[in-house]
Amino acid sequence: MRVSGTLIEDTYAEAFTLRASRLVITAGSGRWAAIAARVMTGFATSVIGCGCEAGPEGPAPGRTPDGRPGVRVLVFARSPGDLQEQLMRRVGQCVMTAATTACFDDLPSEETVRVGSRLRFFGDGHQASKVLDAALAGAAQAATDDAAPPRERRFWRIPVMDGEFVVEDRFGVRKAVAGGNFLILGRDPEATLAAAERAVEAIRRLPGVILPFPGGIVRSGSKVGSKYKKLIASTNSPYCPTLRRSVKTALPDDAAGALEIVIDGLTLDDVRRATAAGVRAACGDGILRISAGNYGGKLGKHLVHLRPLLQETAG
Amino acid sequence: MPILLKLKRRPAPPAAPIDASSLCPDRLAGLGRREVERLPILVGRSDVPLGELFQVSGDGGEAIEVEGDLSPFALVGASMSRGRLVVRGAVGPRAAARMRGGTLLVDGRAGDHAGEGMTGGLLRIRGDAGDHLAAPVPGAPRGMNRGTILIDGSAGRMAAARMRRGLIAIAGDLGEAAACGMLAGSLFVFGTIGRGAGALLRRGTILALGGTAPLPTFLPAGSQRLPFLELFFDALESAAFPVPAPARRAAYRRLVGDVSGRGVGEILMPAGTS
Repeated sequence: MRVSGTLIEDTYAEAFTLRASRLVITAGSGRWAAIAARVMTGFATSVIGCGCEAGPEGPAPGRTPDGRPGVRVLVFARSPGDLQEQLMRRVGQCVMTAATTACFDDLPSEETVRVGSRLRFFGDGHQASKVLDAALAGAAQAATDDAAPPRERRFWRIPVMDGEFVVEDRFGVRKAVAGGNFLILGRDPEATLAAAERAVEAIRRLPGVILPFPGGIVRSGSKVGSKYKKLIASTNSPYCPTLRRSVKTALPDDAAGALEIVIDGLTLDDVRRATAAGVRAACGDGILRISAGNYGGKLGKHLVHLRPLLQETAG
Repeated sequence: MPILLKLKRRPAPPAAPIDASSLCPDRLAGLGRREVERLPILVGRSDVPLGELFQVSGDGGEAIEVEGDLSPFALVGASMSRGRLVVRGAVGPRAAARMRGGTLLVDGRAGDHAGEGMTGGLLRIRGDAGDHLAAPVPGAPRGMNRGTILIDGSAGRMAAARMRRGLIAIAGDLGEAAACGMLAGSLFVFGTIGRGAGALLRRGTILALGGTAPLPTFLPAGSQRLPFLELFFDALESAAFPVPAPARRAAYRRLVGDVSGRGVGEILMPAGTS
């Protein structure tokens, strides 16, 4: 199967289940909301080394809880406990500290983690809570097409030096899908990077997904395991061009190397949609093949088969 | 199918208000028309079948519509915990007393003590409300504790006494001595508030868009834009309760008190008002 002249390998990506929260960060201007979101999602490329995976999600929300400009952020972690810890640290250190910001839950769920209710202690006793009753919150939810059952929402007003930091008491947590991926194998490094950038641009227009790595692109893709027993992951040697004669390579002779796009989404459908959009954008001149990372079922239960996906989404 | 009740004639005002606590979705839901007609309404010292006062149609649902001037009827929607009760006309005292959930919509004015001891749900009064709105039930240390009350008109004196939690929004004016001893919660008034608001206020927010004469025990604490207000304003507008444009994204003059009781509550007025 070829898309715009690029061969799509008959393979699949293997994704796994994490827990996710979705936040809306608002601020006095879009610029400050973006600054807070960028800082909050820094050092959040992989749960292996960062504790969580995070990134700004899709286009800016049309309507935010406090009516100010805002940015949506998705955060993924292994367990609700990990997520709570990461959110507490990141909202506390990166959002509360950013001028004019506020932070709200944007993923109503049965399961929740405490964020504002822990951060409030920073107020040193001067914090105050405000509760939007379920009946009234339900009206606001209906106005934003939020189909979740009406729920009471509690917010904390924490005094800070430019006024008040408003943060939601609890944030919803849902099972989500992380580690969706595809590999771009290009004829030269420039074409490969340009293709990856096209893929990132296409995926970042979509809701429900993030690309947690720098610029949305991974150059140090990993395989499961290592010759060193302490490591659970190590460099994806079959795709490293400098290891061509040292290991069994997965690179064609005329490929200069590969770049990987890693996708985390709220649902498998979100990841599939993003994969299809990204692959289509990446294909073209200078791109020899599109492949995907899988580990023979060792890593996760969600499989995204490239060829059937592209056939389903054709046209 | 909703239960429809139409008042046959306005009863002569008895010495004591008619006890209409039967007019509540919790009591009517699931009942057939005949059963609804047999429900007792306490008029003076005698029980009168509901069917003698109201023409009943429909049955079974948690949605109830009542048509007529219920000014002599007390306790309409009292203790309701679910469903929706709409009254096309005025209601008497203690409407929605001890309400726990659901929605009570009054398309007219309400008597004194509306929302007394409320702990949940939504009470919407399209007209004016009387005195002692959201008051504590007699002997209780706390007043309203959760829930939302929206008044499209004005309300009388002594509203939100010892309020603990929840939101009261009033489109018009509010009388004297509002939020006396308020413990927490939010009282938004888009008109003016009479004298003595917030006496012995512990915590909580009183917003007086049309201004008020604050007690001397409230201290000026500067002007501020407060993003949390927008959360409430958005929710109010979503519930079709208009918020005046000057309230939105405005800076508010903040007064903190009541310092006579070491309170840390706040009175908010638009910056520039006295």
